[in-house]
Amino acid sequence: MLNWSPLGKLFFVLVLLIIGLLCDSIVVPLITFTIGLALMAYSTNFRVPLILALAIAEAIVIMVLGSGMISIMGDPNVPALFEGKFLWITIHMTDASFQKAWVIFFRAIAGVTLMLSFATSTPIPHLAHALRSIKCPVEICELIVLIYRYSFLLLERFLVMIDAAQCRLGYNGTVNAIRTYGGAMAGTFIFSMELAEKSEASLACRNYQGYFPIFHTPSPFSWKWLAAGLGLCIVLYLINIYTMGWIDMVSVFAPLLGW
Amino acid sequence: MEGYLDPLWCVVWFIVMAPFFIFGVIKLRQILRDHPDQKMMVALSGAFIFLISSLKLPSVTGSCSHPTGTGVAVVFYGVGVCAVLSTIVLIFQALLIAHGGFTTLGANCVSMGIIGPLVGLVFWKFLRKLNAGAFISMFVAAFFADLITYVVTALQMALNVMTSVNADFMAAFSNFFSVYAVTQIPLAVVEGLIFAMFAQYLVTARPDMFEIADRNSINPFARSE
Repeated sequence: MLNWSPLGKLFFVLVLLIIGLLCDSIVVPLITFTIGLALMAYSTNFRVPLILALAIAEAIVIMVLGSGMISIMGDPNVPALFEGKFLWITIHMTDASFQKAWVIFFRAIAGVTLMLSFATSTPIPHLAHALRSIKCPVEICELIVLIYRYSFLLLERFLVMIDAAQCRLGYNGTVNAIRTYGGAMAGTFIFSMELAEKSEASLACRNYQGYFPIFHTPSPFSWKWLAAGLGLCIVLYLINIYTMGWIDMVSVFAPLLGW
Repeated sequence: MEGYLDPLWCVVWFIVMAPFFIFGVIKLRQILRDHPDQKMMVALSGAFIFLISSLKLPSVTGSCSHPTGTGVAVVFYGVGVCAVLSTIVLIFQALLIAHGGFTTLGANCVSMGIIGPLVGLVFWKFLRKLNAGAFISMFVAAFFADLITYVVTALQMALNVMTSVNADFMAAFSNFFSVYAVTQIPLAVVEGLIFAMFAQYLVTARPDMFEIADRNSINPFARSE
């Protein structure tokens, strides 16, 4: 997937995300989730890095909690499946809010797999190169690459300073901990600024013109991507119309929850 | 997260974001043209926002709490540039750490990159006019930039559930905001303190940077400083 057109992949992902939003059938996000998972598996050979897996797991926890929150905020004028009060939160779960929460949950999961399939197959310089080709301001393209590079620079410096502070018992007490973090952040920022100035000089020595060259240029955007994206969009919309109401999550959970 | 907003709200928040983003790009080009030496500083401010805002905590609202890190960028470069940097950072977050999304980019940028920082900048300017030190000014600016971000996020979520499941707006807003508040108020205080310490160190090490900060305009659409 690395050599596929970055703009094509981006277009494809965006089309699937948008069509997922426009459809109310749960079947559509399930299909987009399957496509995203398949693409992610293809681009990583199913060797998802542990840190990425943890990020996905954390995102899923947030989605579960968020969908749960939406499910309990139903229309107050409609009879509730379940109502009550938990601490200060008023719970009014209706048929529509419960179904909507599930649709949102599946959309979110599908979104994560689609976006990660793009991310795992597209280096940031490829993305910047693709954006330049569609006349995105050069300053923005340059900043995208620089921010990405400097994030690692900052993170590395920050972790070194945090470790150094740990060795000096810098986290002994809340005030000390906050002071240490403040110092580490300022130190990281200032040190990285000096390093960035040096790196700017070194880039200038290599004739840097605000653009990082790519030696294996990925394919450009072609009509095939446009056709694939729009074709899939139409198919998914038809599936949405045909499968509307096929999966009713209230009926699925009714025996379990006694509704 | 991706998929949380209805298409209507995705479009509305993108429309709200667009003028700030466009003027931000114009301002950014102007800064980089007039002061090419500032390029690294702008990029580092963006990387700083990325680093700080990636420290997320789940919050029971379909979203998550995290420090925003926009206080420094808005104080140094104004709201427009902060909106551009936040947009880039939010795209990275969506792609690299499954946090946020493309369809929710407009809403996230309005809360984290525009309104929160704008309020922070107003407080910064006000306190600097009263001759308050960098420590106090930065504490208040970062605290409000962070807190208002979540007030706006709660508002966005409440508007969304109001139109999608006919929820009562006030009840939804109070539910969302009160749940955010549990994690976000302490986070905002800690972020304020850390950025205040940060400002204090910068005053000693790089006082020239605050000259740039004090020349900034609150108006995000101002063409020249």
